[in-house]
Amino acid sequence: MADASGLTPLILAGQLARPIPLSFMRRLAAPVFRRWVATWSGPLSNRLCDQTGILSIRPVGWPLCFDLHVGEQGPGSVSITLERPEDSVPTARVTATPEVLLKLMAAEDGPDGDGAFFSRALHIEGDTGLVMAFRYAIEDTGLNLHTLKNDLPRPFIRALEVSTRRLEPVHDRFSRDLAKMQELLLSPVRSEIARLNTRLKRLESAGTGPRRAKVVSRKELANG
Amino acid sequence: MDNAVHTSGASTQGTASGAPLDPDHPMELVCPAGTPAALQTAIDAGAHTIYFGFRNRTNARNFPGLNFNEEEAARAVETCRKHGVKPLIAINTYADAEDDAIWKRAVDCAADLKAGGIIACDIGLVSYAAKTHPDLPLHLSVQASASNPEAVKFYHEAYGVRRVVLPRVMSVPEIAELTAAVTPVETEVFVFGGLCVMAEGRCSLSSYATGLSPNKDGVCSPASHVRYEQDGDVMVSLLGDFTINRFDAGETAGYPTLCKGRFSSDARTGHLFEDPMSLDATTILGDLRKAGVKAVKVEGRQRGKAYVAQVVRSLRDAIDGKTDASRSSGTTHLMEGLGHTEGAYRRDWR
Repeated sequence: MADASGLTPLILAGQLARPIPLSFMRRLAAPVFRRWVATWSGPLSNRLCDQTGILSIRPVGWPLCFDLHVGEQGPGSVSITLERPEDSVPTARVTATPEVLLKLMAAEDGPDGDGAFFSRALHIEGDTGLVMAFRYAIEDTGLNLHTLKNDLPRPFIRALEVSTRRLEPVHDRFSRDLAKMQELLLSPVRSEIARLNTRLKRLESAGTGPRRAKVVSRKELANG
Repeated sequence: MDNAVHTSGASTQGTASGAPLDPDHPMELVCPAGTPAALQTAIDAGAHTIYFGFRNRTNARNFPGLNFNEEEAARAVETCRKHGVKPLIAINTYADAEDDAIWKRAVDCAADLKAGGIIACDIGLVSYAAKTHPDLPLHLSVQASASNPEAVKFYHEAYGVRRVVLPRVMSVPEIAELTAAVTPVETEVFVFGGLCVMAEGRCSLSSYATGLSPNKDGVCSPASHVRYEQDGDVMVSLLGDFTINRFDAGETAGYPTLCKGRFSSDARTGHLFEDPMSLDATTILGDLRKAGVKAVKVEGRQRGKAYVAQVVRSLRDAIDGKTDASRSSGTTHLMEGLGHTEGAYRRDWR
């Protein structure tokens, strides 16, 4: 699982999408979200009924995030909005590269959020209970990329499948090239950090050597 | 605990004594399920037995959104039966002195559902179950911390306990000795998953930090008290008012429990109680079989389907002799801190 640091093709794609107005993105997403909410909010509510708050899913580098509003319209209710990360005030935040989030959501056996968290590919902040309950809810209901895709109108599904098939090899090649480029650019910085670390360790070990006992006079003792 | 640490994804060679597994006498594989979907996954992956709990304080994984309501539990028992899998219900916390109604209700419900048994630790509750539902098989939870023949025999003679889940403090020779001494009581041991600080059923670290107890409320590091903060590239984990760890960029993380916390003193900074890593005893399954262990258990009702599927499949293949049990399970990517240990079974830190 990739770390949340470093550039990826989808982070760059997100940056390129920055000029697109949020209102346009919202209009585009609204019918899809309405469909998803109609299909999934009922099943999800079983495990979210004790939760309230906004869970913000944030792909690193993207100019927008997905805010899930839980319990706003009654126990277990779920709705979803697109927001600018800087304007969103969530109760909990889940952050990872778009690649990691897609991989987690596409997993056949469901997302292994713990593994991604242990590897530091996934960051959690805020209300941990809301994140946990949401994770159990999507897993138990079988919500994943495949089922979400199937809820889309048929022409969308076809277009999505074709574009995914074509873009996957491009993405993989670009990922490799980006990794090489970053390695080249960062290697001088890494060498410098390693050099400074060695120097720091040397200084620390020099500073923790055995100390000679200080001879204290009777007068100093009397003065504490 | 600084024992037999393996952090690479590669397999680990060797067993304690190299005892082979006998496919004709397989050990029972006891697997966790936190949701009905995870239960189905465990069945598909080859679990012999599945344990789960109710959505309240009666079980030690009382986390938000996890566990089974009574209706789901009824369906779970039915599903298990249909697939020839034994369903066990974990009622493994200690009842309140002033009101034990939900614990008794959980036992009654398990009996009504005709579950394959309950896993309990509270001696009062074990007594209640034995008197009220004499046909309900009783397993003694690891939370009861019964680690000597006298304790196990007492539970058997007084309440008819059939199986004891041994605390994770015993070496393989100690397990063999105890198993022989407590026949006909069966022994079950953990072979995979999260490790505790080895004071099971008695640990008060989480209670100290949050006021909520793993033993009475079913929550070690309750989600309501856990917070993660990003300080640049450093991830800070907090439990209540305590900062329990700081993970540098690129450093693997563990559960937000005090026992896995890093503490500073004048001398050094490090893990005081234990390192954040998972138990993986795949390599010594043969030794456990030889020690007379009847069942091996996977920890992790709080984990997802991916964990259940991969861990259960891997262990089942090892038990059935389809894979080389002398090699570790290859599931390092699912482990806490992405590292594993054979824990007290080997005790090579001594």
